[in-house]
Amino acid sequence: MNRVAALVLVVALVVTARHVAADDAGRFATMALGFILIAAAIVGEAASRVRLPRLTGYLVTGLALGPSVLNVLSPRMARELDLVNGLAVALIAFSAGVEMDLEALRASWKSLARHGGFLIGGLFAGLFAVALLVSPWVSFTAGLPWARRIAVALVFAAVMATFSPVVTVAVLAETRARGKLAERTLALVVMGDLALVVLFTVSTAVAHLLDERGSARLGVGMLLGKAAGHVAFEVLGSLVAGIIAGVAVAIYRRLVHRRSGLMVVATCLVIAEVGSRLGLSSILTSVMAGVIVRNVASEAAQEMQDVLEHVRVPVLVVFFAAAGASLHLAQLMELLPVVLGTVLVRAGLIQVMNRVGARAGGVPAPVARNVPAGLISQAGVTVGLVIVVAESFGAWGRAIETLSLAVISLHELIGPIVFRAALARLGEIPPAETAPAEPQPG
Amino acid sequence: MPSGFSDAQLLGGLALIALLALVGGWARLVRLKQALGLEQLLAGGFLFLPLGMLLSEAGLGVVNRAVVRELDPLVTLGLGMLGLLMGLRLEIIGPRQRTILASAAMESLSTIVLVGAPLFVLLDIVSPADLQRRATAAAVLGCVAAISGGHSLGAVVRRASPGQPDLVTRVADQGTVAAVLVAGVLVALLSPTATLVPLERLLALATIGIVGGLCTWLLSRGTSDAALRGAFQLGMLLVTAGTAAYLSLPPVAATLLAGMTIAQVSGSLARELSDSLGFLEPPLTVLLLVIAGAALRMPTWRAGVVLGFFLVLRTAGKILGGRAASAVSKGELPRLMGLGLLPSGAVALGLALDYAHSARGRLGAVAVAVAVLGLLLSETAGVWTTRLLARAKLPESTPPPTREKTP
Repeated sequence: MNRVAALVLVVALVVTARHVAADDAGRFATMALGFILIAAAIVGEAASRVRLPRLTGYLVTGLALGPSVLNVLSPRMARELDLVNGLAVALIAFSAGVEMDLEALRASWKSLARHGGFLIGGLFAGLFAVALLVSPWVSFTAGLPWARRIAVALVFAAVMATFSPVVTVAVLAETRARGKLAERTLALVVMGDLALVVLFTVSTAVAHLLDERGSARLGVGMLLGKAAGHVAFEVLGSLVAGIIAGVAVAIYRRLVHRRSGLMVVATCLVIAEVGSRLGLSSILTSVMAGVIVRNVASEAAQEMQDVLEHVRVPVLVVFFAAAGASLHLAQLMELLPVVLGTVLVRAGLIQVMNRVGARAGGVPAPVARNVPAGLISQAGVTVGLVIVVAESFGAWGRAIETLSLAVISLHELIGPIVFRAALARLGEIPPAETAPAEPQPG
Repeated sequence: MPSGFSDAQLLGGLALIALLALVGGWARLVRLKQALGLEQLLAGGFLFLPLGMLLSEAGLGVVNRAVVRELDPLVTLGLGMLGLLMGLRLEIIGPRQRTILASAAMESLSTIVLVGAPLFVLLDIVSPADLQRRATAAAVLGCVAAISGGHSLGAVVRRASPGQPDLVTRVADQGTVAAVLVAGVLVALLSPTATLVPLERLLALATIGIVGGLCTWLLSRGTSDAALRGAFQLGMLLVTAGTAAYLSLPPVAATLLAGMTIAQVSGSLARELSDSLGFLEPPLTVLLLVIAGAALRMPTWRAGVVLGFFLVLRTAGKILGGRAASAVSKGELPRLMGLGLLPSGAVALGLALDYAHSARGRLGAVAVAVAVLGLLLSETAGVWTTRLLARAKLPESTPPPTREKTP
């Protein structure tokens, strides 16, 4: 009741302010940011009471306030939240890194490598094969020569083979889930992010070769060399930057003894902003920084987790509300049959390849059965790739963008729900998180 | 982050900030700063002002206009944070409160008048503008002058009279609150917009503050999860400061009212908020200082003249205001109290930055230049003036009562 009264007052304040403001171009972002934070947090809390992930509530709020429905949050405003989005991704990835104990990982790395290798490689190969097979019947590839169809299939497979570390970590953080499924899924999505850099860079380089315009501009050797250099720079550069950032945090902690959490937030902001300017993966960099802090300055890790716990909630709320505002509802409805087909094929391939990989890696059956639920989500990183594709490959690149954005929208909505359900099924969510929270009297 | 500067510039700027953060917090260097007598000057983080100047468009070019525009939500949040914390920490209940409030109001209002009135005339000579804009600029500069930094004063007073209640710092804090409220009222009355007349703007400012405070209380009251409660509180701070900024009203004044409302409704929530949001205070203050430093344009002779008059008038206003406050307190406060009130604070910069944002043009630039350079000079001078005050005998008094018992 208190929350409803407060929300009504806030809505009245914001609506009145918009009504009486002299012009709309002014400082709207701060007010809107606060409004989104409150509205999404309230809806997220309501979602948790019906055993849905809170972040589904945040997404739905963003969707409702975004251009597709109420248009309170315009696309320009969603772009203005880039600073928060960059920070959110880095912060979430850092939290994932802080969870990774190298000693524990050493014991299972062979199993993980086999599982992930078969899963990611098989998923990519399967998606490529299906895309190529159906290309004669797809509107934007039907008239293309085979070389270009291969290019389209390669790029589409690279985009669709991605997972969402951000969603995975967010679900694990809000449910406080601990167990084999949580650990395995987290490790696989981080591995997937590493593989994504390689797969996407190589696929787009080969697609450029097969695409007439691309091959006319650059020679084969130069293009492949460039791709190899890009992969090496992004992967190695991100890992080195992460080590430097992690060591910097550890040194700060040792010398200053206070405000380490604040230092982590500042470091994540720097990673997000500088990393994107230098072409590094902010996810890999932040995970690496977190791993270093956990394994070099372990005494600081718990203290940082406590601070991150407080910062994480508002950052996640804003991040997923902004993501919800960017969901392409109109495209989703327009392309629903194709989108559903793509979603089903991807889900089927994840299921099959996971089974193969889990068997090769000796993963216990209950965990293996539930891992695919954690791999459905796709989010911000994939959207970034899709935009690169649209800018690089003309008409068919834009067609892939349209289809992929619609598919990502659906994955973003259903992914957290199925993952949370899987964690609950295996009993990895502590009881306090599975039961609806009791409101404080008052 | 928008482009417009090279990676080397960006990395150089970040390295400087990191170095300052490390130097600021390194335990071994704290002793060195104490030995050199720099502790008081560094406590407020005012070295970030010259850093902002170094990073500005005219310097390294990192904090350019595009960056400042992108950081605007954070700057508004920082301004709102300063106001909210002031409102939450304001002690307005207690037997001596009447004396303190009367002294603070006397000191603050006399400085506002002593600085604002002559500057109103001076601005007509050095930077001609229409009557209304001139009056607003002079009023804001008067309020900027009235603000005193309790951070440095408190440390000195506590050292000089350990165990004694810090009446002088309370006067400084409540004088600052009075100055911010006066600035809010004057800005609301003197700069009407196309859609709101002055009284409507005043009403809007009060409504935003009170509704902001009430909603923070309502949202916090029904939430047991600390992290979620923190998200609600941050959201309300953004809404309160953002709505005020959106309507070209001072966010500091709106959130100050919100803080006072919360403190009145629930003392325990005020303390909780003060502790939980206090975590954000240092980085946002640093951001404000860097942005203010970067917003400084090298003063022309006109701004130089205004700055000179501002410093002289402010010093006179503080010393005379301090004497008047001492007289009002019937000797409970030292006659030289004004010396301790000379150091300014980040709130002064907040007021000037906010005014510059809505006023734009030459007057806005003059206000920022006067506030930034005035702050640097007054903080430097404050190192000695507060010591002078500390040598004077501070009156003895009984401990102040607590506002409300913690449940």
